[in-house]
Amino acid sequence: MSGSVILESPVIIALYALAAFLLIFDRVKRDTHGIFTYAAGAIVLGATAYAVLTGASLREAALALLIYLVFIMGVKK
Amino acid sequence: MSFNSLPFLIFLPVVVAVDRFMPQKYRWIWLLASSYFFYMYWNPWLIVLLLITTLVSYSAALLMERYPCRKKLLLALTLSVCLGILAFFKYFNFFADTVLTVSNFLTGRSDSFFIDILLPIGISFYTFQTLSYVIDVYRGDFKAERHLGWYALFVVYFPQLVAGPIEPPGKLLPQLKSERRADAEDIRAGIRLLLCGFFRKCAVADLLGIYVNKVYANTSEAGAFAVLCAGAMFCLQIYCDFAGYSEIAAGSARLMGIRLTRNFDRPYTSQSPSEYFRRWHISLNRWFTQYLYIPLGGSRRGKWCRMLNTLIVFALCGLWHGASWTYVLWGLYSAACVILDSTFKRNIRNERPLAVLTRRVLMFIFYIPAGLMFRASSVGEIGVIFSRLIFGWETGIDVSFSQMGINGLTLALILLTITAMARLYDWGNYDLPPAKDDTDTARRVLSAALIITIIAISWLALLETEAAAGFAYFQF
Repeated sequence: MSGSVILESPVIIALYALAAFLLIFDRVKRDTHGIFTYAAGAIVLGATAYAVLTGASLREAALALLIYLVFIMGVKK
Repeated sequence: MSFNSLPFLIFLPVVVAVDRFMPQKYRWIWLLASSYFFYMYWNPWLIVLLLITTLVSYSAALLMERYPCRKKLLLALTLSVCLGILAFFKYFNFFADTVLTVSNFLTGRSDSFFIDILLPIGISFYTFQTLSYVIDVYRGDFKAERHLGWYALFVVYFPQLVAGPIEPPGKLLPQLKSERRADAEDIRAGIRLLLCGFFRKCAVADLLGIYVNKVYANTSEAGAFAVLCAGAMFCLQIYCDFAGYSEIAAGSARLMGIRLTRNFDRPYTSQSPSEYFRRWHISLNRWFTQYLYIPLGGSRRGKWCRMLNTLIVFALCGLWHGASWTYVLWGLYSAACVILDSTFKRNIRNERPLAVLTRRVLMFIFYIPAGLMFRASSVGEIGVIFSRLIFGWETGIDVSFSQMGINGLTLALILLTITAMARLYDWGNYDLPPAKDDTDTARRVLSAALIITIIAISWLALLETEAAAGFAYFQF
């Protein structure tokens, strides 16, 4: 996907990867009270806002959020 | 006032908040005034038809109980008035045009006739709801409501006024009159349903609509693959549009402690046309079954009678959707599918997962032509689009995608929104079980936050491209 602001920004990719890691960690680890899920959510929303501010299109931002939405809804502890 | 408009986002919280603290004695006044305001927001004059329908059905039901020997006459009068209003405002031009076309064909003339009649929003829905009340009172299944205010509220209750679900009086009226108000679980469920509905409408239906419209804007040039994709996408678009509307309606009512009928139950997981229609627009299909199919004899008078009744019901169901032969063709195609299914269903029962999946996929493919007919604006366009579907295979897939304006990013977006929409079923359940633990709660909160953000982004993106559309079922 050439011209993608999200894919060309290492910071945004790192933040999304961190959020994914936290979501998986919360799934594997018990007794976390969902704190890592909340943290992952804050990171995803923050990273998306940053992406839009740095020039990502609304469609690109929606795509990133949809990936997380599908992932979260598919997770069964 | 449309559900996907800014005024509704202000209107709903105000109505819910005041309703919560309104004494039961005055509740009907508040909800009735709000519902009339909601309807009059489009066009204040349309309220006159609604009032006539309300008063006629209310008086007829009371008179039926007072003069049982005149029941039939009163029923006939009510049907004539309510269906007469519907016929004039919705079908007059259609019938006049059909008669004139036949007469022009026979006489070789080229006369035309058209009266500019405004189609009252939701007329088919509220007419059917009032008829279900009158017929239930006629049959003795429901006692006539004495309080005009509560009855008028039953007819005009704003969440389900313009596009259903068509509620039977035995379900909605007692809930409206009940002193029960929304509890914490109702509020949670209401918000979930609202979010699901807005997601389906703004993020899925309106997005798919952009690409479907591109194919229908130039049908004669469209490649077969583009037509096929447009048919499949329109099936999902109309589902998300209407299921989304129904969820917003159910969510709005649930915030007031009122439970509406679930109108859609994952229709595209159906394995046969009959099952599909048990899951699609449940309240309308129930209406046609109870008040038309069974009185016609249903399936009790043999195979041929059952086929004829199915044809009649589906043709009328098609006509109910709109005054056009395209809808009648859609109805007849659906009837043919249901008849074939009920004739051969004994031979296709196989519960292995692969067989189930195959039947689901086949069912969806089988339904694409119905989607293409439903979306077409004229019978001529149906002819063009089907000829392109059969003979347009010389156009490559890449050209078809470019005709639809789809690139890699939009294709990924479409596939992901459809996946997310499919996943929403459990989340948007009318009675979601409580969260198992804190992580489960966190997942639900995060899902809600993501859904709200996606809805907001979709809304902004659609406004940017001026593709934000009204609800398709409003016109019915």
